[in-house]
Amino acid sequence: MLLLHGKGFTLLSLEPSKPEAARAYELDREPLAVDPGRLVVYALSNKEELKPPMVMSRSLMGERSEWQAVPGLANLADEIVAISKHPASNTVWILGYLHRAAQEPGGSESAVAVSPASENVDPILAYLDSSGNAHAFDLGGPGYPSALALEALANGSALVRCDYDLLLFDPAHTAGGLPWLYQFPGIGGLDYHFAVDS
Amino acid sequence: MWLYFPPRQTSQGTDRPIVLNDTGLVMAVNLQGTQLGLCDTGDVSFSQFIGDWRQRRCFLAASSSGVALADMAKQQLTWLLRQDSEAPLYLLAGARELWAVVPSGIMGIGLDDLALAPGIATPQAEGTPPAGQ
Repeated sequence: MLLLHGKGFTLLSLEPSKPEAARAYELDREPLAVDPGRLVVYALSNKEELKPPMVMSRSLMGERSEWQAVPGLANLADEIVAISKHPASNTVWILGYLHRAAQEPGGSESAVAVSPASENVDPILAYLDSSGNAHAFDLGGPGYPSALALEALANGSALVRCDYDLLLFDPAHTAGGLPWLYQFPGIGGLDYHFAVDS
Repeated sequence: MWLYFPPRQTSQGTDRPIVLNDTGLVMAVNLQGTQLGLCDTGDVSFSQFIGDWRQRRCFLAASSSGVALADMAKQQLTWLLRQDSEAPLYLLAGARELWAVVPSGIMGIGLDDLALAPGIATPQAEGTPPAGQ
């Protein structure tokens, strides 16, 4: 079974040995991640409709189905850039931005000057574990808001690109709160794309 | 996991030497950071890639160029499909199937069958740049 999406948010289910059995699903929003094994699609709520965005899922089983908010993954970030779920894992990962107005000390101890032009943008990494519990982390770090990318792995961990760094996050590694496990050496300095094995 | 470094880029960052990277490179790395294999991908800037380490291969696609296969065991790049239009190509993976979808209606071609599809794919010589490049 293969799921793919294209223009008009049409999701196609193709089975190479049975092309006549192809099925098409019309979706009203762009799917950002698919789980072929369980026929579940992940997407965002309409950004004009709801802010901050909400991660939603929809099952493709049955004749009709509705989008439902993914419990715990709502209102995590002001902007979501990636959702990833490996078919062999139950862990759903999301990557987004949190916008914060920079605060600087004012003329008196009680005054706080807010400068809208110097907004801080922090990358947010979150995952929904197999029990349905959500965990969110502020990745922070200077330069990190650029070039964010995310790939979920079969063992439940995830690879995240922040700027030129490639980081491995593993929910089983909780020392210090952040499940950061490993940074791959020798990558920084060159632009690159990454993918997990198919 | 797989890393793809596009061609024609200069390294960035503090205290890093200026290194011109004329050709692209695809690299297989395990989760411990050990390099398992690499292959030069020439001067075409690919927009998508899908790795299949069990068969030591990686498929790469570039609109207006086509689909190429990087053989990590032989360290060879072979063009499987040549395209001279700007129509987008999609490489898609799922359930141990690898497909290239070309935008002529809804059409999927198993990547294993690309070289066998008459009129669609023409195997090219190793590393041959596509027309117009």
